[in-house]
Parts: sequence; C-alpha cells; structure tokens
Amino acid sequence: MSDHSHTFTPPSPERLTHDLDRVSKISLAIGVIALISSAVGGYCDRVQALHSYLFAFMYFYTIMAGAFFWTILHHAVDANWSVIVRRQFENVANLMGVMAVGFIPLFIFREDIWKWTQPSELAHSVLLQEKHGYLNMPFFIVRLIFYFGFFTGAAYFYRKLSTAQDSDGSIVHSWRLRWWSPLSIIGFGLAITFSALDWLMALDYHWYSTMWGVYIFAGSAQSSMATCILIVFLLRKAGYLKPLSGEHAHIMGKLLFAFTVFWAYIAFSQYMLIWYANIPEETVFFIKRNNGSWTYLSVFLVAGHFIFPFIYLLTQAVKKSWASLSVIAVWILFMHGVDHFWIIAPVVRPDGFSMRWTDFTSFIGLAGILVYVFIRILGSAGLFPARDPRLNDCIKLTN
Amino acid sequence: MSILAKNSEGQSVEIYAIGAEFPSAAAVFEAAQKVRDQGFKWWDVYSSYPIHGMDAAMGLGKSWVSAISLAGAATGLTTAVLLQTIPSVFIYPMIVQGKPYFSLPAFFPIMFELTVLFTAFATVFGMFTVNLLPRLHHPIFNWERFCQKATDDGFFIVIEVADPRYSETDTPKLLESLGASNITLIPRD
Amino acid sequence: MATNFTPEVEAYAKAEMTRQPLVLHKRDLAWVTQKICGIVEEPTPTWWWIAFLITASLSVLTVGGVAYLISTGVGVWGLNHPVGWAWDITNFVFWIGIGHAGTLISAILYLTRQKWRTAVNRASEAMTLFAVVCAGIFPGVHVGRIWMVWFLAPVPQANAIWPNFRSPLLWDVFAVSTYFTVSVLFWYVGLVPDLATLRDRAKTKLRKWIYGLLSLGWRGGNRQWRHYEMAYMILAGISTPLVLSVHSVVSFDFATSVIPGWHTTIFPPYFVAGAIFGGFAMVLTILLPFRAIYHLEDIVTVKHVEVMCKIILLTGTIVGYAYLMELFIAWYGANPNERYAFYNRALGPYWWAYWSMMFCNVIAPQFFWFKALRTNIVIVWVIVQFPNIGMWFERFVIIVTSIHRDYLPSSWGMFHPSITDILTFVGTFGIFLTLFLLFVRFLPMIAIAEVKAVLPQADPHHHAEEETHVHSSQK
Repeated sequence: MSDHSHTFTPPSPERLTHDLDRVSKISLAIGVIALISSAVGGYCDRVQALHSYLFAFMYFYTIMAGAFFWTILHHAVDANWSVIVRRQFENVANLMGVMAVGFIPLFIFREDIWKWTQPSELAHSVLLQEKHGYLNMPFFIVRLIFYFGFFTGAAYFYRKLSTAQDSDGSIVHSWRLRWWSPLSIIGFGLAITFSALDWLMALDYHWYSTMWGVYIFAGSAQSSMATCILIVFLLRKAGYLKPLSGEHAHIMGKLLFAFTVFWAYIAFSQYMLIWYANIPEETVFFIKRNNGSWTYLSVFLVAGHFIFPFIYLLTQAVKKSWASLSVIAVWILFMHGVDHFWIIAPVVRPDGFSMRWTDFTSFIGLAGILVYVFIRILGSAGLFPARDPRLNDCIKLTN
Repeated sequence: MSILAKNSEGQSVEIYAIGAEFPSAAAVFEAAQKVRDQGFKWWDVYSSYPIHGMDAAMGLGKSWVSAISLAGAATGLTTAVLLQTIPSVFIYPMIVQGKPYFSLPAFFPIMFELTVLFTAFATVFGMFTVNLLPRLHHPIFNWERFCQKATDDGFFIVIEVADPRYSETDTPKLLESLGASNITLIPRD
Repeated sequence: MATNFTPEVEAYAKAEMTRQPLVLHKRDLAWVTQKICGIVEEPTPTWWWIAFLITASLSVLTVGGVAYLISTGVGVWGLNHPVGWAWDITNFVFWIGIGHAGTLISAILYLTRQKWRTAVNRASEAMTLFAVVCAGIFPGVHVGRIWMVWFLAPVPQANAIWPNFRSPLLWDVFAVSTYFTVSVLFWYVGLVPDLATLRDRAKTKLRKWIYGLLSLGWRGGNRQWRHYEMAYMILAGISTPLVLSVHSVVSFDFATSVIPGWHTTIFPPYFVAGAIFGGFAMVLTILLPFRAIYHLEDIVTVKHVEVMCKIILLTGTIVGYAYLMELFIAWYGANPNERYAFYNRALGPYWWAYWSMMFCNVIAPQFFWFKALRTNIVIVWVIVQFPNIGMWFERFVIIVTSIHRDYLPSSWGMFHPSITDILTFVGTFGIFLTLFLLFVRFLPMIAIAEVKAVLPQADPHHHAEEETHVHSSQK
C-alpha cells in the first residue's frame, strides 16, 4: 500500500516465448485418438455415444459462449480491471469455430438425439405437430447458421480489433468495440437462449421452461470465468502477466462467487416453481433426475455446484490468491461437467446413474483438439492488450 | 499519571490528547505512516470520509465486524429452520396441497430472509458496539477547531497522552515535522 | 494490421473514451459540505410549503379510502368473482418494485465499485423506504378484517393454529418486512456520518441536540471508519441477494400457482429486472426536478443521468426478453389453456392494457439507444414516464387478465375498479411525495461523505500533476 509509485511505466508487450509446439501436437494426437475411440463406441451403441458427445460439446460450447459474454461485457461497461485478462476471454471465445465443425456429427445423427427430427415422430405426435412451427428442419438450420455465424463472427471481430490495437495503438479500436458491445449483448442473449432451447431443452420436446435459457447462461458465465482464472494462473506460473495482482484475482473471485450464487438462484427458482405447481408436463424433467440413483447426483449437484464453492469463496483471503482461486476454478469446471451430464445423460439412461467410456473419450477428444487450437491462438498475438488506453488504470487497480 | 496544562483562564486542566491538523488527504496519509512507524498505539486519524488505504497506513488489521455478522447469519438460519420445522412438522402438522410436512424447497425463502435479517441486525449493532457508539460526549469535542472542520474538510491526527510513546516535548515536534498546523492540547473535560 | 485513422476520427474516439469527472468544476470538500447541508439549513422555501400542502392533501385520499374500507367492508372495492385479487395487489407489487432501484444503487453498484452511485444513492434509498411504506398499506388492508392482520405473523393463535409456512403469501410477509428493516438499517448507517456533519454545523441548540442524538456521537476517526466500512460492505453484500429475493418472492405469489399466465419459471428474474426498470424510472422522475431546483448539476451530472438511462434501456430490454419468452413458451408448450391466456392478454378485452404495457416497457426505453436523447434532461424526464405507467400496467395485466376468464365461460367476468380503489391508489402518491419532501427538508439528500470520497483529491495518492495526463499510455 505504502509504495505506490507515481511515475508509472506501462508494461511492455508480452508474447508467448515458451515452445508449446510439442505439447500442442501431443494434445492433438490424444484428441484425435480419443475421438476415433468415440467413433468406435458409436459403432457399438450409437445413441449413447452421441449423447456422450453432446455432453462434451455442450460443456465446451457454454464455456466459449461465456467467454464471449465477458468480452462484450468488458466493453459495454467500459471496465478498467479486466483489460489485462481480456485477451484470454477473446482467445477462448475464438475457439467457437472449432465447435461449429464439431457440430457436424450431431447434425448428421440428429435423429438419434432429438426425437422431434424423426419424420415418423411428427406423423403420430399431435403435440409435435402443434410445435412444428418452431421444431422443423429448415428453421433449425437457419438457427444453427445464426448461432455459429454470430459467435464465430463476433468473437473474431472482437479479437481482431483488439490485436489491431496492439500494433497501431489507436484508441479508435476501443471506441468501436464499445460501440458494438450493446448490440452484441442482444445477439448473445438470443443465441445462448435459443441454442440452449434447441440442443438441451428439445432433448425431450414435451418439456419446457421459460427459465431454461437463463439457467444455461448462468452456468456458462460462471464456468468461463473459472476457465479464465485457470488460464491466467497457468500463464503467471510460466512467468507471464506479472502486472496482475491479488486485486485482480479478488475481482475475478468475486465475479465467480456472484455467478455461483446467481446459478443457485436460477436453479432453485426453476426447481421450486416446477416442484410446487406439480404440473405433469413440467415435472417430467425433475422426476427423471430425482428418482433412483440419479437422486444422488442431483443432491451432489446442489452441494458441489453451489454450497461448497459458496462457502469456499466467502472469505476475502481465498479470493486474493491466484493459487487458492484456481483450486476452486478447477472444482467449478468439474461441477459444470456434472451439471451438463445431469442435464443430458438421464435422457438416455433412465434406469439410473451410469457412465460410459464414450463420456470420457468424447470429452478428452474435444478437449485435446481445443487445447491444440488454443495454443495456436495464444501464440498468434500478445498475451494482453498492451496498448489499450485503460491498461494503466487496470494495473493500478485497488479494490 | 495525568498530564496537566494551563487553560486560557490560568486554571490547570487535565489533558486528553494532542491534536494536529493536516492540509490534505495525501499529507495526513504520509504523516499517519510516520506516526505508525514511531510505534504509537493510542492515536487516530480523523477525516470527513473514509480514506482509502488508511487502515494499512495506520497499521490496523482487517475489521472483525464480519465475524459478528457471521454469528448473526448462523443465528438467523437456525431460527428460521426451527421456526418453520417445529410448527409444520411437530406442533401443527397438516397436509396442504400435497406437500410433505418438511418441505425444504418451500422453507428456503424464509430461511434466506431470516438469515439476512439477523445478519443485518448483527452487523449494524455489532459495528456500533465495536465503535463504542452511541457516545454523545467525548473529550475530542473539546477541541473547537476539530468540531468545525472534522466532518467538513479537515484532516486531523490525534495522539492520546495515555500512549506510552507520548512525550510532552517530542510529540509536538514530531507532528510539526510532519507538516501539521494548529497543534493543540485537548483538555479531558 | 496497420490501420490509419484520420486525426478527426482519432480525436473523436479519444473524446468519447475520456472518463468524465464525477463532480464537475473541480469542487473541493468544503463546497460539497456547504452545497448539500445548505439545502437542509436554508429557511423553508415557499415552493416547499405549496408542494407539501398539495401532496399532504393528496395523501388524505388514501387515509380516507382505507378508513372507508375498514368501516364498511371489502365490498367498497371493485373486486368480484372471478377477479378476487386485483387492484390492491397490483398496487402492492407496483410500489414494492419502485423500491428496488434504491437498493440496486446502494448495494449492487457499491459492490461493483460504480462510484457514480454516490450522487444518487441517498435519495434513491429514501425512495425505497417510502415506496415500501406505500406498498405495505395494501396487503395490510386487503385482508378484510384488519383487526386480524396479526394472523400473518407466525405466532400461535386461538386453537393453536399456526400459519402455513409452505405458502408464498407468508414468505411475502417475511420478505417485505425483512426488506424494509434492512433498508432502514442500511440507510441509517449511511446517514450517520452526514448527520454528524449537520450536527457540527448546527446553529441552534435544538438542531444540535437532534442531529447530535441521531448521529450517535460519530467522530470520524479511522478506527471508526474501519469497522463502518466493513459493516457497510456486508450490508451491501446481503442487500444484493435480498433485493433479488424480495421481488422473486413476490413473483412466487403468482408463479407457484397453476393458473395459466401466472405459472412461469422465468418470473423471479423477470420481476426483479422489471422492478429495477420501474424503480430507476421513478428515481429519475423525482430526482431530476430536485436537481434543477437545488442546482445540483455539478454532483448529479448529465453523465449520471445518462448511465441511469442505460440501465433503464438494459432492464427494459431484459423485460422485453421475458415477455417474448413467456409468449414463445406459451405457444411452444402447446397447452391450450396457456395459449389462450396469452391470446386473451394480447387480443382479449384487456388488449389496451397489454399493448400499453408493451409500448411503455419495451418500445419506449429503446429511445435511450441515442445519446442525444439520453443527454437531454427534459426528454429523459418525458421518456421515463412511460416505464412508470408501463410497470403499473404490467402488474395489472399479469393479475387481472390471468384470472378474469376462468376455465369455464360461465365464470368469465371483467374487473372494474371502484372510485374508492382509484382514490386510494392516487393517495399513495401523496404519501410517497410527502415523505420525500420531508426527507429533502430535514436530511441530506445526497451522501456527503460518499461524494467526498470520490473526489480526486480524496485519494491519498492524488497529486495535482496526475490530472493532466490521465491517458499516459497514449503516445
């Protein structure tokens, strides 16, 4: 506190100097092998393997969408504190292109995942005929194009202007990014809501909840904050991003805490209202998950996704240390997986909790490929926006 | 041992503390660090708003009001659980709308509200207690300059004579060397 | 990529990105004290007496309406079958919602370190309290037999009957009373240092005595500030989930039921967003005239007004999202009753209420996309009247349109407010404004200590030369 220097020199730009080429290639190899084993698994049991894959896909998709959310939020509120970590959000959000390619198997085998896409289902289900105006193939494709087009395009735009500023230092980029951010929030809101409706809620086309989009968004923002905390922690361990202090960790910890509580608020409200009203077409979702051995997972979800991180993050000291913060970040990323497993798996495993080896191979497969691409993206530009006009304010931050 | 001084009418009065005024937040901040480093314990910095970072400059730790709040939260949560469970399950069990006697989702809102209510009471009254308030009379109010400026735009350091490091000769010199003006002995009564 | 912008573009962007000071004209600490205390210390202006007379007479309507209700019976209201719950609850939810902006400003914006909040938090918190007072009247008197209102409290009554803890209406009693109590405590804690300022400036013995007693002997030592700031932060920390919970619990009153149009899972966050939306509109409605009367332009700057307009735009759009989601899922759910409820809202006999709500809450705030409109105080004041009206209609639409057509056409009906209904509601504006006028007269309407803390010279590391090159990274 006492040694605030008044002559402030901005930190010099940093680039990745470690050679991660080998690491990235090993990661790619592991990813490809794991995905091939998933394909083999799919040959044995297509429905289960596809749901495993959907689980892995949604896990990473929500993290990337969340990273995009934090990027545009930074610009919309014109924040100081997040300048130096913003590049990592931009990097994660730019993995969305991989997810667009990763959707191809889901699209090809859609009839095994979303029952409403089967023509025979449409023929005999009166309910589905009622919903045909939304649940039809042409509109589904239009929406797909919107989700991936919006996310990849906008994420690319935000990173491109940000890296352009690294080279020319013009403040115009900051202003343009801020100008676009409120509109991007609207696009983001629509994309995350309706993709959550299309890919998760429509797993059972009978079921519906107006809260669903908000629920997926809450977990998405929370887990992507955890991801970024972890990335920053690793980069700092490797000797980068040294201007970041415990004050920055504190803010990220507070936001992680806030979204832990927000997720719980949304999850509780959704559960309680459905439980209380007890209408058959709504309770079907929770009955599947609150019966048999799935009950234990539901209880674990409440304890692990909310109660434990809530208590852990309550004290200030924990939030001010990157090390203790990254411990809970890993835990939250694990629980984010549990959350999506809890959403997807009971649909095809009604008899009770069970895990297939394809759950793991799909997850490792996508993770391997994403790590490979992420390292490429990480190395292709500076590790933080070195010429952002708010960088000084960011580094001088005190809570 | 009480320290005495002569007042304007020549009577000898007991002294409570020595006070000094500083021109700005930056000045009082730097002075506070020096006073802290001299090892003073019974002293305080007065300003019309909380100065950021002053706790560290004075060598004070984190406030422990939060511990009182936590105790309040625990009390509130327990109260809510008992308040709802005892009537709903034991004294007056009744099935309403097919809900079980012990309906945790339905009990949760009141559990939350009472936790917040008790935390708020514990925090506010805990803070006032720790600050020894209300206390309408205090020797420091005997210093006229302080009363005029402290809650307006003044910055003051007040060192009590009870402080073991206090010295009748050195302490005023120290304050003066830190750039203070209006160095005054404040009577106890 | 080497992009070259013209110097004009660079200069424009730089001007746009430069942060505005929170207090204009480089005011000092003493100016802040004098400006805000001066409002309380000046002789009561004539306009104040005129305004007070008008609002106080207006509030007589509520007193009279309630007295008539209690002495005669609930029949004096327009409630009927099937609309057995209409005007009173609409007004209750409307007023409770108004309060939410105050808590948002005092708690959530404090936690997110939005320093501009210091200019508006005191007055908004005061509005919170007065709005909750107005809100509390309606559930209090709507029970019919007012002398049995203590049945709401969880005390063992005759025949050892206990209230039903599984009922959202009981949660509401707890939520609203907790909200009021915590808001009072929070507000009072914030007032203590400012009351000490008024005490030290008091010219008469009576004033000194009253403000001295209220400020509890506050001295402003850092040993006190240390605990004070911790307590303030904790209060902000608990008020944040509290404000979310209050309107969520209010929404549970409807959403836990199985009535089409009421049972929707998005209700809790949607109600909260709507409450903040309507609350900010009311804050601007009240604050802008006082800003003009007392010449507070240097403290409540155009920038402050602009930021609040942006919050109105954001929350209005969230409300629009919720309306859309409700409509979409009502259709997607394919439940004929649910579909009919929304069809009836939009095209039934109450279509005018629905479309007023849609226009006021979703369309009107979209004007705030334009900076020229956000920075024109008169236009802002006109636009924020729409949310004020729209949020009342929202509650009316949700409550009345959902129950005025029951499942059987034989139990269809219309709700018409009685003259008592209308006058009782109009009177609450009198109560609200009367209380606010008294607040402005006797208490500092802007948080003195907090505004001082955000002045540049309040920072102990502030040095005069730093001001000139804020954006030193720009080479």
